[in-house]
Amino acid sequence: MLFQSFGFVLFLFLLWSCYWKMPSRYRWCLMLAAGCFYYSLWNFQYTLLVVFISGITYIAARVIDHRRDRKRPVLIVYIVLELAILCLFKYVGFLGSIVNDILHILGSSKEFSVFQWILPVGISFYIFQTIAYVADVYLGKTPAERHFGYFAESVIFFPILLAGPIEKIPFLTAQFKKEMSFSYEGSCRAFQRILLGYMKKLIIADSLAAITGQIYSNIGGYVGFPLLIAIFLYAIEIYCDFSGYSDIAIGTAGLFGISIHENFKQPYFADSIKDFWKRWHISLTSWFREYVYIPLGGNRVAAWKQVRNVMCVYVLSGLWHGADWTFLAWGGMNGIAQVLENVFYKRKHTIRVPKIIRQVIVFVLVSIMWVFFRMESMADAVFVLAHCFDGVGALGAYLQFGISQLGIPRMQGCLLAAFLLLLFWIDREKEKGAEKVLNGIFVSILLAVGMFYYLRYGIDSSAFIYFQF
Amino acid sequence: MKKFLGRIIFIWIGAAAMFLLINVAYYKFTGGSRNVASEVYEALERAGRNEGYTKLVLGDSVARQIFAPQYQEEDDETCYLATNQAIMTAGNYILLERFIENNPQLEEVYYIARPDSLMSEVNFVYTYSYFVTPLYREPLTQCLEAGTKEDIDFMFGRLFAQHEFPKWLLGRYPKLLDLYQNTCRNLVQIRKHEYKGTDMPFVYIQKMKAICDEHHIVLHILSSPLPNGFEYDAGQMKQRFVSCGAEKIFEEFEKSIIYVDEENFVDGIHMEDSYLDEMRIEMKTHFQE
Repeated sequence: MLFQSFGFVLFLFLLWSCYWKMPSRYRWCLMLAAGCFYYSLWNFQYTLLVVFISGITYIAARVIDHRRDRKRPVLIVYIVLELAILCLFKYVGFLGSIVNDILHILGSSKEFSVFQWILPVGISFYIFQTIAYVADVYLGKTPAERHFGYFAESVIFFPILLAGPIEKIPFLTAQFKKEMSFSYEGSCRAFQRILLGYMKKLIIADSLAAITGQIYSNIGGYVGFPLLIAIFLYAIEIYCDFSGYSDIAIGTAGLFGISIHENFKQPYFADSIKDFWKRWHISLTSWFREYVYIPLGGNRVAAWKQVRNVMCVYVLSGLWHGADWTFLAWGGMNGIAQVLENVFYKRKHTIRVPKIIRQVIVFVLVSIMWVFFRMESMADAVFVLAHCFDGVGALGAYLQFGISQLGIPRMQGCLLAAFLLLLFWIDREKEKGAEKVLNGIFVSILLAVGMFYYLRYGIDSSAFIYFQF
Repeated sequence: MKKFLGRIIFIWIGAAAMFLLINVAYYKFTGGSRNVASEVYEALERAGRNEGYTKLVLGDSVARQIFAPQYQEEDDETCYLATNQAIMTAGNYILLERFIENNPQLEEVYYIARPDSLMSEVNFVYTYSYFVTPLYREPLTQCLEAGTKEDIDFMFGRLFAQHEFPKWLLGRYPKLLDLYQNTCRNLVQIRKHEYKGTDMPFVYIQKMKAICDEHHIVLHILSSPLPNGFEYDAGQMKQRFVSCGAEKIFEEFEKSIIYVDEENFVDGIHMEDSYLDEMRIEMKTHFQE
């Protein structure tokens, strides 16, 4: 059941109506059942996997909390088990292909056939969430949760179960336990946030996906401007797709009075790669900083170790996204960019570059790196980058022919541009810290225009990009 | 909670009302432009004119590929009015009756369609856009049998089948059309015990034959080219033709089938452009026989 389906809207309305009618102390039962039901619509068997992971995490945390003398072996066994589950579903195929490649290089004709499991949706998110929780209990940052119901509800909390944000479990359980009453202001904000998420996904991301999908699925058929425009449109598409999901998730949680940390803070306003990663997929970046970068020594170590730590985080982040060389390359490139940036900023007397120029440079760099994230092979990614300026010598023809190849009706193009401007304005207001509940009539007008666009030009919406991770 | 629900309802109703009002205004202002199935409107218009043609080609989209309007200049004897399978035999009958009304000089009619096109019934994917929107309106509906009208009203709902504004709106917004078609399909599933159903293809083949006989016009039903290995239930089809007194027409249909290598088809149904001229010449040999 996708967020953008009618079924989800109905499910949400029914659940919301029951939730606020129910006494606070029983709400966890309802939300836990709703989470299991929601996940089972994707795959019933894998609901058992989520429940199993909740169970072992609960037990591991409780054992660590009670038997401080044996906490280390328990932690190690637990993490190995969690990572084994993740590898089994996500990385076995990739590892098998590496082994086969090595055998091929060594001249062996043997080939391992590796069974590829169907990837449980959201597995990387809830495994990282639960590992973080047990690590926090181990480090004494938080006590183990005693009530299994509240604990499981935090793991199987449906708005964030499939694609994050990776929220801290104690932060959620504390809210679930609180006696909550309905807030009009909070609900209005949540509803507005959901609408913003739908606008980003159904109008912008899906429209751009149609354009980039058409180009990237047939890169041999395009050269020059269409490839160049696809590079930048994909950067906007993935932002609108993932931040749209996060907006709907945060808004949905808000309807139940639960607050979730922001996952995006206007990432394309960043003026450095480091700044970009403080604004993009914040929950994952924080996870890596807290549980990989800092334990490795962070930046309080020798220079070469700092470089190692940064590269380690980014390569792991690439691997987290997917078991493929393209993701590794994407992670590696981000790491290298940050290392170079650190070197550049540490030098004294560097030329001061205006902020807007820095922002543009970061956007261009990030967009180029997204090409590796998007393409199915390294060769395809290199092809796109190598041929995107073909024919630029004749600039007029380069632009004219390129635009005609995109095949977007003029009206649709204008409306899409208007929505992008609206998104830019919203992000700029947020950047200034001036977010507010909009007037109902203004929301109605926007909704009417959105309806017009979606009903006239909307395409069959695909699943969110981050569901595959 | 009530205040919040009120706000949501206000926002949604407000948005829907604005959307509808702007569309009503646009519809009134433009007089309702044609959003879908332009070839059917064109065919309908041409059927209403007298350009002196003595032969008429009707048919499905493969026939339209072969006898496309851009080839009309080559032939001043035959009028090319082939459109699409989705208008079914009923839609072709409407075109024929209108053509005969305006072209008393007509001598021969060639209805060219694949066997599956010829047997096609109402469906939820194309019928609304290709048949209901352009053809299911007064006075054209007078050409239709009462049973057909009941079927169409039952499947698509009277409001959406008979009124111009909803048709225009659905034609303008593809997503809305999808939603509407899915809803119709689900509703019909629920109420399928109420559906009477008529043998539409043969009712209108019978009517075509009758009107042609009445005006001393010769009716030929020919097959569009088929890929090698294409199979259809010839026995059953023959039985149906025989039952409506059109045995000879079926024999001619069977004889007219041309099997072509699959590589000459784009999608197993429609032909490669490079093959169209050859096919047109080959099919025209039937016109001379």
